[in-house]
Amino acid sequence: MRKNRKKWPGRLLIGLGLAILLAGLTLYALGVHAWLPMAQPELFPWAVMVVGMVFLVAGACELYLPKTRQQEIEERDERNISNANAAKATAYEVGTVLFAVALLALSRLGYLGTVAFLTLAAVFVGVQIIFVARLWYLERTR
Amino acid sequence: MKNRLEALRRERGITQEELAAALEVSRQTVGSLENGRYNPSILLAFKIARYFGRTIEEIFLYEEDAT
Repeated sequence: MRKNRKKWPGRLLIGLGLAILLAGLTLYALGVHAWLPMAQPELFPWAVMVVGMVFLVAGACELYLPKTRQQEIEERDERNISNANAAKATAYEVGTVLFAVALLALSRLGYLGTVAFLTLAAVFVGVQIIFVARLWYLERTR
Repeated sequence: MKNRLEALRRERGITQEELAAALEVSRQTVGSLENGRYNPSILLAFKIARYFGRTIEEIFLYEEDAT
């Protein structure tokens, strides 16, 4: 592992993984699956634990799997980063429109209950807030 | 942006892979730089100029200057 390799992404993933794994174990111990209003509620704590383990493994790989110099160069290559950011920007713009259209269409057709609609609408608004906040921050600092 | 990157690289007798390794960028980036599809950041432009021992203006030709 190179000395100057950033450690915080791996540590963050491991921390999140542990937190989610513990949350899954807690949910199982508390027996919340007995009253969850969903199909196969007994699987929910296990699903949460699996997600936690995925994060743990991803964090461990990020920290301890050796990367070749070429891999590190490819990750830091400015053209690759620029292309990825441009692709993400296009996907965000298209996704914003498609998500809103799908949300409205499904709710008007009666496929979405009130809780589902409000949850997805909150996710949509949250993403827009993150966009505006990030843009404001970048305008101030660059 | 037109540039003399390929000519300078061939003068040195090095491959795109070798130049990419020296500049710590991917080979594809060197290829895109040479055929003008990608313009480097100011940092990369300085690295390239320092590598070849030239000024940025001697390597990269601003469009108005090229006409």
